[in-house]
Amino acid sequence: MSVLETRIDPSSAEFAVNREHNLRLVAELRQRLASVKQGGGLEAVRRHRARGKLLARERIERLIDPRTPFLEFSPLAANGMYDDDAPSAGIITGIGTVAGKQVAIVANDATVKGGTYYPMTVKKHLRLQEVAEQNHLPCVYLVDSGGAFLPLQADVFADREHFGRIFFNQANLSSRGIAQVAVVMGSCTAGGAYVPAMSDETVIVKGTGTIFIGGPPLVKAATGEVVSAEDLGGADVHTRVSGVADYFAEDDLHALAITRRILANVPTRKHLPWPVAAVREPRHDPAELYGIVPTDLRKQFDVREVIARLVDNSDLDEFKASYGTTLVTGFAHIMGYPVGIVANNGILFSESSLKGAHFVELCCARKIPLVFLQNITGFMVGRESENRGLARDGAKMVMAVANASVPKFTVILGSSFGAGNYGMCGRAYGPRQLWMWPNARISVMGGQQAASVLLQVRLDNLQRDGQDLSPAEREAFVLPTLVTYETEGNPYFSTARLWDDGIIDPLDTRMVLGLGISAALNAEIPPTSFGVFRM
Amino acid sequence: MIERLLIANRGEIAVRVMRTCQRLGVRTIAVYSDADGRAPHVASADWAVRIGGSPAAQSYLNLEAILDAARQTRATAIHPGYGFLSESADFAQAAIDAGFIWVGPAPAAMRALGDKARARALAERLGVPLLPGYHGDDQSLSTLGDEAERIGYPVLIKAAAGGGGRGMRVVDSAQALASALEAARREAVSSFGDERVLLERYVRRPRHIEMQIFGDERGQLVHLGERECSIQRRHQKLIEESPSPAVDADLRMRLADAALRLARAAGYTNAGTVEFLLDEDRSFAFLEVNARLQVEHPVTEAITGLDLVEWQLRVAAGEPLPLAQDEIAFDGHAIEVRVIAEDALAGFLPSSGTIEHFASPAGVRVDTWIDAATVVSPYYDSLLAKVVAYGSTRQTAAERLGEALRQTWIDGVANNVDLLLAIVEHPAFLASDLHTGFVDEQQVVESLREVPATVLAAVSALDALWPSAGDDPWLGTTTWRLGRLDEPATWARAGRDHPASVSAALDGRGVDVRVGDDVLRVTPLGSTDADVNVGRKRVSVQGAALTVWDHDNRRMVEWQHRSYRFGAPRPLAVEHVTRELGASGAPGRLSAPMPARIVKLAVVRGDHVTQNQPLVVLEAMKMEHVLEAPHAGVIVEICVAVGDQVQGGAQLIVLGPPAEPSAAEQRVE
Repeated sequence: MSVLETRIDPSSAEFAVNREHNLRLVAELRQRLASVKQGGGLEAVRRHRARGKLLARERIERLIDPRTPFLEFSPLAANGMYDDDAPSAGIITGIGTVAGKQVAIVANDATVKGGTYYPMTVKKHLRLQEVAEQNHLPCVYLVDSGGAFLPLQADVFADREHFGRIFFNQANLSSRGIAQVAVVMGSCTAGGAYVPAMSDETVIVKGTGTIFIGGPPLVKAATGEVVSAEDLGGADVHTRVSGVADYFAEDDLHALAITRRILANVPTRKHLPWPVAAVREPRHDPAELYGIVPTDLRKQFDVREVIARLVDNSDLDEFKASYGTTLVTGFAHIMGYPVGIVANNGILFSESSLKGAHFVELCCARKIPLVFLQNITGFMVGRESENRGLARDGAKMVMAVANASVPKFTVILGSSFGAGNYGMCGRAYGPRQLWMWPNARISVMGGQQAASVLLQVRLDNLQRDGQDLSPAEREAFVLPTLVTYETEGNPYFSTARLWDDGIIDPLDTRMVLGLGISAALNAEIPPTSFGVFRM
Repeated sequence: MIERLLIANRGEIAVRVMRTCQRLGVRTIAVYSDADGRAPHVASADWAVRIGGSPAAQSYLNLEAILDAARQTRATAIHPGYGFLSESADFAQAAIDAGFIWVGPAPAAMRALGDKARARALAERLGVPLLPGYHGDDQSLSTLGDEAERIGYPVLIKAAAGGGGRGMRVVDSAQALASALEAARREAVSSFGDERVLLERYVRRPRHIEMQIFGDERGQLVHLGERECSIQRRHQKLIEESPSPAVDADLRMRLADAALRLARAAGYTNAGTVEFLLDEDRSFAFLEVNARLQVEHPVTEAITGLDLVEWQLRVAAGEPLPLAQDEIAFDGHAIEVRVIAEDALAGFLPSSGTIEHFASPAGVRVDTWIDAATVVSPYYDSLLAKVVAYGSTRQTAAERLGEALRQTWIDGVANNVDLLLAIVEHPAFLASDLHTGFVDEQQVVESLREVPATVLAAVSALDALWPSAGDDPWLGTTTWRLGRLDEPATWARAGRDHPASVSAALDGRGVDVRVGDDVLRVTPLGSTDADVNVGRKRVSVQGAALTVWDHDNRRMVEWQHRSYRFGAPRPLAVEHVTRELGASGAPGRLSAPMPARIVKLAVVRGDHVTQNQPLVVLEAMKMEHVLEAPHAGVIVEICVAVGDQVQGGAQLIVLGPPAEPSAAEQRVE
């Protein structure tokens, strides 16, 4: 293979400026991550512990094998939403290794509004079930939730992708042979009762775990019967009398130990369509990424410098290196796994789109996972482009990417604007995972372009009536658009709404991709069947 | 010479006796209980015979079964090892009567010296110094109470038969005498089948010194020097050495003279040990004779270059002692430690289970019977191995022993290697400031809980600084978390977890390790390539350079003249959790902390108990353990009966909350 050369000078002033800028962004990310790990705050944590319960993150730590990774999704979900009352949207999700196999884990954080489901909580829970489905991962639900967040019931209850979908997914995942395991470590009331009830196997903790359709207050109101939570739906009742749960646990640790044993008995195997190569670290230091990514998104940088710091031994065998040069395509390995890299190196033209479509076809034919590195302001506009059929060629790439059934992974390194987002496997194109760097921006177009377009439309209208705007008026006109795009294009706005799976420190990119590809191999890679390409 | 030797024992001593036999061309016969069908001593022997059920009383203490096995395999001699029937004159006599050569002292000498009271009487007659004590046949509580007053508290209670510290109790006051007597008797019965006890003055800072003696049938008697066995826990020897740093040529001569006088008077043959207490003023008092080969005989072998088992076999076969006294030379210094399956921090609770991993040290003598997959059953003594280091000086021997212990690692059962290492590295031990209360006085056990933040930071940081490049990123040893932040690391010292959390430094190489409220910066020194420096990694912790030895699932740091060994975090397992639930006494339930036999139930259903009141007496690995009430309450249910063998974690008693006063009054009516 050919080792990528670097043209970066770590002693340059530009490198130093970039590095300082990017470290500041990572420091901000760290600070936000640290803040959501506090859960619902000191008092809520104290009350939670006083009941002998472990915190949601502690439960996950004890569930997974020691000294193995945990790939958490969307820790900054609901960031800036709901008056910032729901850190991480009150639910921790991710992939971890239990008894040597990858497992999709959901843990309610009862310190956040009793673990109730906000709209983003529902979305995060459903997203994890999607991850489990795509990658064929057994699911563990560490349940400790009061059900739907009632003040927002209209946004969580009735629609297709609302609360009910959780159980729909459980039923369908189970039917596909994906183990569903619930651990009742707190309340499971009303609709929530169906999480354990719909599971293949259920563990319940003495004293704290309860499952009932109607809680004691409702029962009293409805029938006048006075009954304690434990007698109505505690661990003893459900494992001895009702059969709603299968395993009785003395406490959280005991429950997690039982869950580990349950998972040890779930047979799984990985499907490797090709041999795994020996893992080799990149030749170029990944820490130099901080000095490579520029402070201004509009400034182009050679994406090969990023690839050289992501892939094994910095080896990339480029495909069509001299054709459609604004898209870099090539074969490489990440942590020993073969990958096809599709990376932006400028805006997309007809040629780069055709090249991209061709390369995606190649990878699908060989069952090689695809890694999209997005830094795209869009497709080339203008008469020449349109007349040459840019829409047709762009459509070919979108078609190839949409149909590709190999595992796809997307990392947004910089801009993610317009149809470029689609051709480069944006969220709508079903990548197994989509991650953003802290410097990234995502919107239908860049803020400047959007403001210019809107201004032009406005000016056109005014000019029909023979009017115009002064430079000051023009500035005042575009300002709100610029502000809106900056706010909504910010990665923290994106990640709050689960447009991505999380914002990552660029240095984590290689690990995140390696873990993602490995987890993806739990599902067999099916042959791809493409739709009709417009020729 | 002996042709076919039956070894009426198990464990390391059986394996050790067989090793000499193999060298001398003596065929060996092992005996085994049900629990030991796959034990290493069975595999080491030329023949092996099952002699009964797992409890020792049905097998290794079953005299008839052992003699049957000897007859059946046409053995010509029987070696009793130590413990079990080794000090039973009846067994020796029965073996001789059945036509076998007895590898040990003649029964008459065993009777004269093996019984403490009789040995004492003999010593008194011979003018050998003794501690004030009571050794009478009147075992009534009132007599013993009067005698204890006469001797003066603190008083030591001992089993009249047998040795090894079993059944020993120190009593500080008259009030505590009755309950201590009861417990000592019970242990004496279960260990030796004889409930008689004796009383002795308890000396505050005594050294335990013993002389190894040997006699042949021609009346020739020699000594092989002394051993010091002052490092003990619960009155059982832990570390033994020879020569004793407290014994000079003059004292050695006086001790040898006393020992040989006793042996001569009793017509002693074969190997024996005469034990003394040495006071701080260098006066000594005779304690007892162990009429058998001792656990700690290897230290004598190391400094004399002799094989004591070979001597035993030769003398038993009627040969003269191979050497005369003036031909026995002593050279260098040897120290032995006993590696035992027990949890020092849990009150030396014996541990049973399956050995998952055993790293045996190099460069020292290791007498052991365990290997990976050996099952350590709850039925027998918990000695796993003896490690014996030799050097030209005591200091060299201690250094070699320390190095050996650093290399020794056992997974699967709790063990005392960390405790032994802490003692061997202790300044007072190195200064030879020894006495039998050393372990308690120096608080060595408690020190096992301590880990300096610097040490823990270095150990915790390694996975993040040298990420392993496994075949699959999910299955390496990388505790990776998003952002490389708050990565948990929980390494265990002496079986106790020490949690820390590790975050990558934002601005360069290294990590910040949070230990309690402290944050320590750890940076790698040298290459961070995973393939370089395998097994030995250098880090800087806040500027201080440390070396961490890194071997699979264990790590070790030497810091300020102490070694800290750690085991990797273990996956959560149902068996471990239930055991801990039992040990921590989940409210209302009292569970067996280990597999054990129920010896006594001190309460009945409905009893009101106070906190710390003894409820159940358990016996495991020949040691008694009292389960006390974790809180005041009422006995709701008793789930076991006396004599039951229970599993670790088995529910024994359900203890309800204390009854309301009114309810209590109703009960009284």
